[in-house]
Amino acid sequence: MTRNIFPTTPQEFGRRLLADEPVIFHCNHYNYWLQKTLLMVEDMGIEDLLVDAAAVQGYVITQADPDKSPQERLQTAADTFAQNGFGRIDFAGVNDQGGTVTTPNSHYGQCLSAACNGDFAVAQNFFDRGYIAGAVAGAFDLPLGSFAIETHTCFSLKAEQARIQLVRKTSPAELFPAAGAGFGTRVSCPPVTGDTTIDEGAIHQALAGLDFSGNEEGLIPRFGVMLTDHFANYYNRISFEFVQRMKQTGLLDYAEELLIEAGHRCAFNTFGGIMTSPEWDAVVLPQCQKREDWIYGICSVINVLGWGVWRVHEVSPEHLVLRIYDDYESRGYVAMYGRATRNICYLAMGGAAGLMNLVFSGNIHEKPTLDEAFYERIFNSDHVFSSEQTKCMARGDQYSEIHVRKS
Amino acid sequence: MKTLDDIFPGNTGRMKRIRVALRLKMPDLMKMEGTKPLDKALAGKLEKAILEIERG
Repeated sequence: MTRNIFPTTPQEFGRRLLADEPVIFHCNHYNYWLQKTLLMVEDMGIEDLLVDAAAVQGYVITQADPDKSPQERLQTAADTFAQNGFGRIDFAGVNDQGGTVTTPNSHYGQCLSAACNGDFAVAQNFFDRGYIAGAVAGAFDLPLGSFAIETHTCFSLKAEQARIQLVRKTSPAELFPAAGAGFGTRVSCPPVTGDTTIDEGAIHQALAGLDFSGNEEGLIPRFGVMLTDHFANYYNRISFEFVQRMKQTGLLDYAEELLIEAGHRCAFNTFGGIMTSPEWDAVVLPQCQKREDWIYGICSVINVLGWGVWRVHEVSPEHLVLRIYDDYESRGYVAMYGRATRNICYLAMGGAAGLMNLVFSGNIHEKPTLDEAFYERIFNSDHVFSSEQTKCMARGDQYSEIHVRKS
Repeated sequence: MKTLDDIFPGNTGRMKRIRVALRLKMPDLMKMEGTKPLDKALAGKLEKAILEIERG
């Protein structure tokens, strides 16, 4: 299987760029809970936001090599979609006036159901629609926002085929610009320190041998979840724009709690899946002598996801202090909105609490089944861990810092 | 008569309560006393909203 894709370019702090946009790994559970959270709010243009934020990501892919023909650029967009775990796209039915695109496989259309308790109320493939509309515009060197979605069907609503019909707009919509690599502080990151037997270099060397590219269906089943090698700025744009819009509602603090919970869900499923996987047993477990080493070990794995570098500053069965160097949320926030006035590392806050809950409350070393009953048992306990962000790179601190304690 | 704590028990219930507050654009829901009996109309409205938000 040969795909016509741009190589991802390694950056400092474990970050990676694809066509100058940062990419990071996230799973179907996070994708589901984040999208579900945003869709709670009606009448605030959230559905359009989910589509529009994806459009720029498709656009940058088909604009990245202007010497290629429109058909070659669309093939690159389809191959990138498959390589990064979003599914498969057939662009054969489009031209510069629009047309019909099919997605024979779709992460958002087919894989979010594993995280969903019941049927979907709305089609879940917002990302697919936006990516496709943006990719077609870019392939024909039209302005971003040149296409509208006329009709669509989606596997999430039990359609037999997923079809997206594009029509050319008479005047292009003004959409979000690409945010690019974002901005960090360029502070140097310390090595792993503290009382641990974890060898991060050895873990990274072992993980480098694993294949994290999309299979023939364009999906990435790994660690018991479906991964996507996603555009960081897609998450950033939809999360932060949601926050901007919630400022007028009197519910901003609560909406932020839900964004943090999406990160907590992510930790339970992705980190939990990793810590119960054969790969963990083969690579990390032999280095773990005590429960705290599990925290150091999973942070070493997290550091290959493209999220920045997570460093354990202090850890005990009651408390974790985590310092994150060059976190993707801060980088994206500053690029999109300038310096933040609030802490904005929602994924990191939820993820850090999730780690402690898995290791010290959920006894992940006993390999529990990672289902809703397990989640509710841990999250409803009187001693659930929760996070407080004490430093934030987006607010001007050199790194982001999160304290996790039992409530 | 039901209370908010009956309808939204525990931490997962709190998350559900926030979702309902967002859906109904009802910030006051987060400030209401959890143990106070709810009038029937409000309880019905909340339970209907829960059904909506529990769909994917």
